[in-house]
Amino acid sequence: MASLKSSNRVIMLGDCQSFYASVEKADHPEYKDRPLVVAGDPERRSGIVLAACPLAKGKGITTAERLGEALAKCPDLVVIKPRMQKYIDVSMQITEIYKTFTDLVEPYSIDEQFLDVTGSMHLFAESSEELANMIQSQVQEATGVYTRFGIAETKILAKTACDNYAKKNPSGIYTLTKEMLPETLWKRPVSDMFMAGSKMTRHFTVMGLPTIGSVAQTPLGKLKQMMRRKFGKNSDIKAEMYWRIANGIDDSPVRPGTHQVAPKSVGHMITLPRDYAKLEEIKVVLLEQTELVCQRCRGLGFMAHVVSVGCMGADFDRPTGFSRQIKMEDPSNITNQVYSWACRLLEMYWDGLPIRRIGISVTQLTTDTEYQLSLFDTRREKSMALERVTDALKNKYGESIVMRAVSKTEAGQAIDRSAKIGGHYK
Amino acid sequence: MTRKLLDGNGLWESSRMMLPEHKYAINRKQHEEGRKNKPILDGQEIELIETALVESFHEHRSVTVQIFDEYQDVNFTGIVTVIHTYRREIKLSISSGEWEWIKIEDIISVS
Repeated sequence: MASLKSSNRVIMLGDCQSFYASVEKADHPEYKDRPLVVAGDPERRSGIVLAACPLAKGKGITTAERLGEALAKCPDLVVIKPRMQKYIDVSMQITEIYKTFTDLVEPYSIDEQFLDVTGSMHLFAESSEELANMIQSQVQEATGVYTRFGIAETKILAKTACDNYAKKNPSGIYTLTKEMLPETLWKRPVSDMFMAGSKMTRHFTVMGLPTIGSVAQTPLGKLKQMMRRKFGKNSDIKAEMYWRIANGIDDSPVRPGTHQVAPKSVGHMITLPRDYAKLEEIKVVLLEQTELVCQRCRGLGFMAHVVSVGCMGADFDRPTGFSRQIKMEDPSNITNQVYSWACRLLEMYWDGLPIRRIGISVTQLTTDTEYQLSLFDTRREKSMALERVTDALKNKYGESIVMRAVSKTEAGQAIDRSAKIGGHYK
Repeated sequence: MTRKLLDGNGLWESSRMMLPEHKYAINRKQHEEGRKNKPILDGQEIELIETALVESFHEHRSVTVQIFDEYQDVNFTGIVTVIHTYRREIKLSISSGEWEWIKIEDIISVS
């Protein structure tokens, strides 16, 4: 068994096994021994498997596969619609359990969280693995979710230990020390490296770096040179990132307040339930999305200076669409103002072909405590007062309490959207 | 790609997948956890605060007043120019032309 030196940090990455499916199984004990998947709504094109329980995975079902294919592999499959709010609640319940062991807990995604137990470990256990085991059983007992823990002295190694070893370990716990790297991680193919997608894996292979070890052992200067030849001189930082990942070098802290940082952009994108081909119809959705984005900006106290609109064509085989941005005259978070600029972009760049996805985002955010008075736009104060009221109503009674009349047309998506989180039903 | 990726928590902040609703709920919870009750001041402490305010008023000495807030206390530095004994309020001149009316019961320390 590996153990960390006492002078080092002790970081854990806790990962929940088949998170959505495990939550549903805990909530539906009658399905305990049946293969179960959580899958999006097939009628709205989001009919893919979001999570499969270990029994379903045993039947060959994989995450992100189409529901139809999954049912073909396993006809007695239990299919459950996602309940996103529930998963957020359980994830936060798990955060609270982690927080009884250390105040340094950083959620990384809905089912992965970092814990820094350096200072508190001695209060609970003799070793980090014993502690991980305690946390694991507490989470299991409280939520029915099985957690796996990668343990190491840095966040990158904890993540690596979890993804590559803890998940395959019967105990679900694995400690990875720097000394172990040559015998373990470095022998693995570069495709197993964190942040290396299929494209990057191909590039590394072409560069003659097929294993994580070969990346780690290339001197940084040389790796930078090799990557510059492929990606130009702006690739130095990327080279250093991969080199550090391969060597397990990472001084990032576990930061509980990490989600409080001001966002750089606010955006929203939607996959439409059918193809939209008429400008008026697309504009309805664009307005609804502008409203959502502006509302979020107002809630955060920001105005945006740049607005960008993106569309994706309906035909997968011949991809069309655009993504363009424009700087507005003055920063704003007033729906109608931002919408008029977004419309300009749409009218200028849309090629007239049916679209499947549309999104809007705003960037260059500034605080909304001061704004430029306009000599010509006298409606601003009025719009602001109106939106303050509609925002307050929505916060209190839900998104669908007040909406624009166009949302009631056939093209409108706001009513459906208000029942969703992350594109899936609450 | 910017240098930020390699500094601080950059690698993790740029690679994470968080639902906006989840983030919002986390921040809201942390905000609520930061909420605190107003401390109960000892009689002697209240006397010290009142003396410091009166001194500032008479001698035009600048003081820093800490005002209780459920989430984050606020500090003001200035000279006490009016003491309203009946309404139990003071006027603190922060700079020329700028002042703040402060309820004495909201003050938790003066230095």
